[in-house]
Amino acid sequence: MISIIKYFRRVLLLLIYVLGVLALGETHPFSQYPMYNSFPNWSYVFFFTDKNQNLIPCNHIGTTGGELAHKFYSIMENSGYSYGYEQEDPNHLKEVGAIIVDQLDFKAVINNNIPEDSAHLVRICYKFKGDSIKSSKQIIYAFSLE
Amino acid sequence: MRFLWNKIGCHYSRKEWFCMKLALMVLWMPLIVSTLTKYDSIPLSVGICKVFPCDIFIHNGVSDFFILTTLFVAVLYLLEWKTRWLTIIMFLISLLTFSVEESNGVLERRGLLTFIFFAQFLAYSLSRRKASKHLAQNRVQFSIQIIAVGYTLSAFSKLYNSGIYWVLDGKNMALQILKSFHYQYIDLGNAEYLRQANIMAGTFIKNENLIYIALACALIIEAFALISILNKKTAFVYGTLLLLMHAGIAHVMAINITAIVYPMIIFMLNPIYLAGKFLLSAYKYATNRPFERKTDAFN
Repeated sequence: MISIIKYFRRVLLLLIYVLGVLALGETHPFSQYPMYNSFPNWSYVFFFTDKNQNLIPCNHIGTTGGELAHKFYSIMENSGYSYGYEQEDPNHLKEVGAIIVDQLDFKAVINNNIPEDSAHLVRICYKFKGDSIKSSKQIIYAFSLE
Repeated sequence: MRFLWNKIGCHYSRKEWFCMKLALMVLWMPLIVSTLTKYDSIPLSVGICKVFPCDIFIHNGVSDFFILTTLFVAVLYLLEWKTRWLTIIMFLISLLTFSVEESNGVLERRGLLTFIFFAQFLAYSLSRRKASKHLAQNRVQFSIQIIAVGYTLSAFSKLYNSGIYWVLDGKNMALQILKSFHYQYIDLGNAEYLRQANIMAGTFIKNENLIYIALACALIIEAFALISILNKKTAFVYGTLLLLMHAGIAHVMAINITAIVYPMIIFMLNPIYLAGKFLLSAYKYATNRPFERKTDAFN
């Protein structure tokens, strides 16, 4: 009996965690850790540029490229919009772009630009065509730095 | 080799436990503080924030109080004072803070880190005596169980979503490599990362067979991570294997999932303790003066 309890303790926590994942799904602190669980033929990169198409580094606006992508996918999923393979509805992209911009602070960037200047949320899509990788750039949302 | 194997031992000493706690706090505290100071709203409520008004914790005064509480409990945790209750407080702080982060659309996968505190709470709750041998074992072994199951679930997620195509579609990983290096360029504005991205993706495409082997190995390592829960030695060996896997991922893809990699290193490899032991041995060797057992801090 003692040895059964001993062995049960060896797996107790992992059983609790698995049950939590089965019951609650992707709810912190439970997760299946689905990062990179598939390799589709597309990948997106999001970033900001100023009116002259120069990059606005993410560290100037208190975020990272990874966070921008996380926000994009989370908002798309939360809104019930599909994404991937550059198949998104342009209106959905604008809507999501506006939400992302609204969550960020561009004050530090305005110091080097005038507030009325426009900025853009840009997306690059990488995909294989045959054996070579092609990239395409698209402005998904234009906004004023004001 | 046998000498090293025997050196690992079977039980976790109080010094080993302290080194693990110290490393865990060095990881946990900055993550909590940076998250609490970063967000001021909850635009996409998820997890506990769906049922609980998490936004009250990120208002100026309240988040400052939370940060002070975090620092205070971290110190008490290191001093091993009322650890049972501290771990449940740390679990709740972690749960609320990282749920706020996820409610901002940023999924940093910090679930393992949060649940480790619950695992330790359970280890302390199941032990009647503070100085019992079972407690010394369980508080580490329970934490390792959580880390190991995270890897295994991740492998199952890959098999469930992609099956064998997770390996066969490996060529498309070049797109993820380009993306990851591009992120670094975007973050810092240094165009050198774009050059690195092209070099790495180009090398990757040219070595297709090597990719399949590397991906198959990674999948097998993740799927069998539960081997690490058997005992201290398997945890150390498996930890080394996982560390090599992560080093490969970091080199090729420029990806480092902090809240998964570091807890794994802390509980399976215990780097602070190892470094202490190494420095002590080096000092002993340099002075050629054997330590008396009483003064040896790491025995």
